[in-house]
Amino acid sequence: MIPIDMNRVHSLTRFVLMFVLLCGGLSSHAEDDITPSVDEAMIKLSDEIARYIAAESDAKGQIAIGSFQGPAGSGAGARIVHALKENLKSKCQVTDVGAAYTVSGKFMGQKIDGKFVTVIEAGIDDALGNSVQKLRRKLVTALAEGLAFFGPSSVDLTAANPHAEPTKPVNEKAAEEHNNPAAEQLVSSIVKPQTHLDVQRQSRMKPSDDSPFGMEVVLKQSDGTYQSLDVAVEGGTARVNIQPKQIYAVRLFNDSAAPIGCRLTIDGINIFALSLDPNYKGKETIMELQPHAKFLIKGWHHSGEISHEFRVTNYGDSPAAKFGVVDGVGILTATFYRAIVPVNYKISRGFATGLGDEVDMRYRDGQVRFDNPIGAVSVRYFRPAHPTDLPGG
Amino acid sequence: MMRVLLLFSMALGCSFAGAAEATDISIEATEILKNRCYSCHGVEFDVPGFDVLDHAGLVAKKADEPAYVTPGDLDQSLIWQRVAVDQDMPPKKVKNRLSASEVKVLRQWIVDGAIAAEYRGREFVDEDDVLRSIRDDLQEMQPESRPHQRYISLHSISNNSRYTDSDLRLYRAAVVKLLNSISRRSRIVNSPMIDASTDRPTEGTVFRVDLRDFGWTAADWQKALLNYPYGIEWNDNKRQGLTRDIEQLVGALSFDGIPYARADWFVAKASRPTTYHLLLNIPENVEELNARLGIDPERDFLQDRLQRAGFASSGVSHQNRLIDRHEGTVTAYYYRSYDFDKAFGRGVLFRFPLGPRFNGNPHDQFAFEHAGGEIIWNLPNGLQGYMLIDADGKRIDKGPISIVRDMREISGTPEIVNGVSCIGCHRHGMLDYQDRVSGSQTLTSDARTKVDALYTPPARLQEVVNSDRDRFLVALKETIGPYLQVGDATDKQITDFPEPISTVAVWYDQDMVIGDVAAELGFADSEAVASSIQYNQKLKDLGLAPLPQNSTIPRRMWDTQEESPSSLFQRTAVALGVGSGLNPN
Repeated sequence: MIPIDMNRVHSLTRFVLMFVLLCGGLSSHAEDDITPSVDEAMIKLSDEIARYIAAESDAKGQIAIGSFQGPAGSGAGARIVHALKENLKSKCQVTDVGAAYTVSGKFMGQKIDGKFVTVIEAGIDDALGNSVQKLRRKLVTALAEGLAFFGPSSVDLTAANPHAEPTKPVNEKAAEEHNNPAAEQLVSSIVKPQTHLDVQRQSRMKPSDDSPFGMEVVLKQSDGTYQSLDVAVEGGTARVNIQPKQIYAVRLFNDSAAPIGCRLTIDGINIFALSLDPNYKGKETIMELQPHAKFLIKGWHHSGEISHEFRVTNYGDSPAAKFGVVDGVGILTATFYRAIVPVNYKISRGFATGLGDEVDMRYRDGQVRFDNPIGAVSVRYFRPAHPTDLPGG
Repeated sequence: MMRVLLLFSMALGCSFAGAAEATDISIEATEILKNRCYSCHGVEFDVPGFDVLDHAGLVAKKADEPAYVTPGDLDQSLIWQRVAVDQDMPPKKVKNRLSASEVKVLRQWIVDGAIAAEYRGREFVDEDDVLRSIRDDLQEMQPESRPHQRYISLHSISNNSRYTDSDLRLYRAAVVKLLNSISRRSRIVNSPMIDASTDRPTEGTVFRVDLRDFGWTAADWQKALLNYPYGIEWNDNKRQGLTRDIEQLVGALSFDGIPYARADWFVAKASRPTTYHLLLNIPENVEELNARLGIDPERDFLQDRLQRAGFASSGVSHQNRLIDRHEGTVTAYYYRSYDFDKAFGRGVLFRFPLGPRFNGNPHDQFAFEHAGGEIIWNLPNGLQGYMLIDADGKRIDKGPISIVRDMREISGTPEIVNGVSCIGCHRHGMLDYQDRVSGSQTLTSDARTKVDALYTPPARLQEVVNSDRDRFLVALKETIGPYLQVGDATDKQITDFPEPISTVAVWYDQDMVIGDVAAELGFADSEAVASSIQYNQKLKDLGLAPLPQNSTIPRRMWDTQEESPSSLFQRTAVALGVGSGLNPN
């Protein structure tokens, strides 16, 4: 059965190579940087943890990774866990059970003097829960990189920076960022989450009341159709009611006249994190949303045409558990990016169809590259009981 | 009877409060060694590595001759033999000789077992006191100033009975001299001691360092703290609370994770590359340094605007050495040495006095080829900066041992390490030197004229060196005078004190005894720590077993983070249950 919404093929662009390069350029201009990038900081932190484990004979080369706590609106906890897991797996054995040492911690961030300062504190505990070593990392990065790492909640940045020229040279952009209202707003969204619902359809969440793009969570019905879920707002945070074992999808829409990019994360994990395609797997892949269109994202990307449905399961069976994420579980976030459109850009059309547990979702490499984030929407879909059977849980 | 007891207790009280350093034979003997021997065997290191105040070194057995001091055995004590039997030490030319009563004290000390002196007259400074002082200091200042404040503490030194009051003063002077020697600002800053009394403001244990006073950013300080091995998160609730207060006052994102850095570590670390280069902002090559200081060596050479002197050997080199003195638009003086690794061809200054080689040098046929050099320049605040370079002018951390060496081993080895070795050697500014080259070679008439123009007559050279040294000494007195010229040393000349930074760096590298370990971990009772080690297999496994047996462990074993990010200090703190390691940023 064809879904209610007509879908267009989602063009896919590799994680914003442009964005990464841009951030690298900006951060190199931050003369006070002690670590040039978040990635490098995470590698150094992982190296220190691995050295500690290697030097302790009772560690037997094993470590468990617990959660990293921080502001509720941030997805950085999940990213830290993911990065540690990825970086440590080649240096020691990362395990959930039986490790003599567990690393967990906390993080915080703030915009200071036009830069973004992030502090990550990783604590190593022994098998009895006694703290034996703490490792701090303070990162001073360009705003864009810091905020991308820290992860936005619902926020619209287009109004705050309407004349931003994505093609401006990096140096000019770096100078501009010192007084960038968009950045201020992004920081504010982390500290004070807000939800903006579409006036016509209360199931649609948008970065701002007049934003042309946004997100809707839909529940799969027994006949295979998808039913929009109403959104409740509690303390500025959106919430939808999905129960365990239910299958849901995420509808993204772009009512603007230009393509935009969208990174969709569930439980802090990019929906392409499980992809078999090495170009997409484990990377911060961004989808291109073409103008005046809606897109039904039915599952975790698996291969070129197949995805696995989003099903609320026990934590142990979830991708979050696979990546060792605890802190960000239960939050869906769509982050929107300004697209840099090539001269010969053309809209392609196609379909995405669901077939049982495996869902056809056709993607292809896109032509568009992406600039800084321009808005984001977050919704909590299920607040799970905090896992108590995990190290550090 | 009651009256007798009262008098006795009063006498005891007096001895502790006023004259603790004079009641013990060990202290008396150490004071004699310090007053009579230390200037040559501790400050100058006339015998490499021999420091009369290093007790472990004094009593260490030697393979081919008696130990300097063999406890209980005068015949096997080299110091006794030289001082009392042969009487050739101090050397005959030295007027400052031991009196008969001092010789008697020395004899008694050795016969009684040559116990290390312990100075127990100072009040123990608890960790809580340090944290509270920092918190209170932050609370009293404007909120916008707090993120710029950092603290350096020497309470673990003050609590260590190995160190005398005058040692403690030298530690304070070392901190302040180093801060100003790596400062980017133009004025001397006497960092306040926040726990000192108002009548003795320079005799506390905790320094406040306002980063702005030295031209540093928070990121600079963050880098300086890299690999800090003494970070601890205390298990004690009160200390945790005080630390949280400090973090809150400074601001969570400005806080480094530790409330203070230890003074001894800071002096040892920041007086060497890479921290020395980082904080003083020394560029990676000489061209950039010259540009910053307004120095143009080639122009000065061509226009005869430099003072040059060459000689065949110096205190650090047995090869030829040449020194040019320049004046810059930014710096008052700038000395650059040209050092050589060969004694033939263009390495012979007497035949090739008109280098270095550069495009446009009209005397290229007489230009030497050097292997590296040292640059000394007058900082904006009057103290001196140092840079070692290779033949290409690139900054290096250490001078190659084949070219230069430090027989006094200030850096711990004969290697000349930029910063600490240079500071130790140039403790009073520029050293005297004289040209031995200008009259020695056969040259063409043009070259002869050029040599005469560049090479400076001894009297003129002495005049400019004296002038530069005076400038340095004025700044030095302003920097360390308030911390050294106090108490019984008020009238002492600033040049009569040991050089603080290199002395403290050497002290820091000394092998550690149980008293050092206890003081650094915050214990007043070193016997209790010794017992803990004796009965705790984990502590023995860490390598601390020698300590309860009155033996030592090397400092580098205690503070290294080479194998693990957790130093032995931190792992010992965990094993003793006092806290967990915390590595700042």
